[in-house]
This record gives sequence, C-alpha cells and structure tokens, in this order.
Amino acid sequence: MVSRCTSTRRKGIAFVTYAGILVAFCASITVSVVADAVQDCQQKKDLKLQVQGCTQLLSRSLAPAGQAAVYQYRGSAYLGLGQYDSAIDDLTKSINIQADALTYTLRGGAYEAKHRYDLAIPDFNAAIQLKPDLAELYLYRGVCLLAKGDTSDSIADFKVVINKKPELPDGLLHEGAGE
Amino acid sequence: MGYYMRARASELLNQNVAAIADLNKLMSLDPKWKAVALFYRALANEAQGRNDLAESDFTSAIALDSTLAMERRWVEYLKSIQADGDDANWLGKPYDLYLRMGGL
Repeated sequence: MVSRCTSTRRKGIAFVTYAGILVAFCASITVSVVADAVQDCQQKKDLKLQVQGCTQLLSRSLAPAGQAAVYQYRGSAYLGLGQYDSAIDDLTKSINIQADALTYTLRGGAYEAKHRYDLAIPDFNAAIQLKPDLAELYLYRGVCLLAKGDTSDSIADFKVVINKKPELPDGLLHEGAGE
Repeated sequence: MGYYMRARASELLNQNVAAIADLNKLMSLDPKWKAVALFYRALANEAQGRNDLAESDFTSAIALDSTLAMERRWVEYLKSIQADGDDANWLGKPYDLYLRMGGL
C-alpha cells in the first residue's frame, strides 16, 4: 500500500515536472515567436515581412499604446509598398488610439500619393500643430497646397522651410516627425 | 528643397525674377540640384522673353543631365497645348500642372 502510494506520488511528481517543462517550452516558443514578430514589425528593410510581423502582433491582445504603435508601423509599411488605402486604414486606427505628428504625417503622405490634397493638408496641419518646429512638415503641406492650386499659401510654407532649414535636402520624407 | 519648391510656385505666379533668385540660391547650396535649377531657370528666363539666356541655361542643364533634353520637349509640348487652349481633357492647364505637380 505504501509502495503503491509512493509510486503514484512519484508518477504525480514526474507528471507535474513534465507538464512544467512542457509549459515552459511552449512559453519559450511563444516568447520567441512574439520576439520575432516584434523584430519583423519594427524593421524597415523588408516591408512585406514588416506587414507580416505587425499582423501577427495585432492578432494578440495588446495594450492601446502598443496597438497604436503596431498600426503605425504596419501603415508605414503599406505606404512604402504603395498600398495607400491599407496604409490609410491602419494609420487612421493608430490616430484614433493615440494621435501623434508622425502618424498624421504618414497618413498625409498616403493621401498625397493618392492626389487627395484636400485630405492630406488637414493631416499636415495637425502634424504642424503637434510639431511646429519641424521644417519638413511645412514642405509637405506646401507641396500639397501648390498641387491643389493654393500657390500663395504654398509660397508661405516654402518660406518657413527656407527660414527654418534652408539646406533641407530631398528625400527626407517623414523622418523627424516622430522624434 | 524649399528654394526649389518656392521657385516653381513663383514661376506659376509669373514672378520669374523671384524664381531665378531662388534657383541661384539652390545651385549655390547644393551642386546636385544644379541641372534641375538651370532647367527651371531656363523656363523662367523664357517666360520673361530672355530667350538667349534661356537657351544658354537649357544647354548647360542638358550638358549636366542628358534626360533633360526629353524633358524640354515635353515642356514645349505642354506649353503648346496650353497656348492653343486645347486642354479640355486635362485636369487643368497642362504647363501650370507641370509646375504644380513637378515634372522633375
């Protein structure tokens, strides 16, 4: 009786140990999968991989700030891939959770790419309100104003760019707004 | 970049002296913009009727970047459509659109 009890207890201990190892193993895989997804979502070299990583993260329950960041990353990737409607969807979700200058700038860029200057300009306005010292934002808004036909207003924006950052080179799109 | 964009806007408003000043500044700030700046300065000079200066700028621009020869023909085509008023199928006046949207 005693030996059977001991044997059962040993089996119980073995089971608990095995289960513990299994849980730890599964948890480590999960942690590893999440870590990979985070890395994929944050990198910018492979935009399709970035979309995959962010999509994987969005399938998990995230805190609102994390969700806003992931939507922003994925929106930025869609923008780079030329999938402007998907970019706008994601960036809008991000803005609805937590608005910041970079997200408005990115969405403004997506609207600009679709030649929707009427929608891009309010986004650059919002970004400028949040980051009034950033010369690039006046450049983006000025480009949209010029394209839309508001030539005098565009000149006012380009004057701000020249005063703030006369040497501003091409190809700086969207950098800096998230600082 | 600010000078380049303002020059385009100024040309659109026929403020060609201001445009030329901005393009000169652009060239002095960054040599990589020189061909483009010369090209737009040529357009500004042309708009002012200073065809000899325009021709000289076009020649210098194309010497720096041969693709600008095709760009010049494209601009001439747009200007001719605009001058003829034959732009019913366009979103706006073709040469003005070029300056607004940026051909280069």
